[in-house]
Amino acid sequence: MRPRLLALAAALVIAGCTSHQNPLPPLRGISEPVDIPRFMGPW
Amino acid sequence: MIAAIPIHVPFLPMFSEKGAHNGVETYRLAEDGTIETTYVFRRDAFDGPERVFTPRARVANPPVNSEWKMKFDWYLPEADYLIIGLDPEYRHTVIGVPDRRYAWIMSRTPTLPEPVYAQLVADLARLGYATERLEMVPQRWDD
Repeated sequence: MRPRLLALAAALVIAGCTSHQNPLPPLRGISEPVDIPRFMGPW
Repeated sequence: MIAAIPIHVPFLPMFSEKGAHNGVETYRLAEDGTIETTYVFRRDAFDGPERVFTPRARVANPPVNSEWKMKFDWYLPEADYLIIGLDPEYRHTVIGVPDRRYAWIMSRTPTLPEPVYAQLVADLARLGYATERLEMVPQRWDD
């Protein structure tokens, strides 16, 4: 467990150091309905 | 039936997906309404070690169903997962995240026609993605 937590902590630090402000508004999903059963399966 | 083999085509690689080969993502609707997800790939080579991720998703914006929350592990917060493009015939789709750090173009078939791929990349650029960072996930299926 400890190596996993250390890896997570390192990843969070790296993410924090490399984060940047995106001037664009947050992206959203499409507005058309998605048929969930049809979306299932392998891609 | 190579045409039936699903693939991830290109993506802006997340740290954990670097070097992915033969990546396949599979969704299964569970009885409780959540979506069991399995992403399998080979690390760094077609015969590289197999890696498997099994996050579980829930739909965040029913009944549109285009925005999901992915839970990868108990100690991690849910990750946003947005369906930002979808073929009317569900042959290919584009997945994104709110801050545009990552995107995945996924297809039901091993390859996409070049004009289709070019259009999907153009769509990503129009949405504000740095498409020059796209990387192809190599796919090779012998049977």
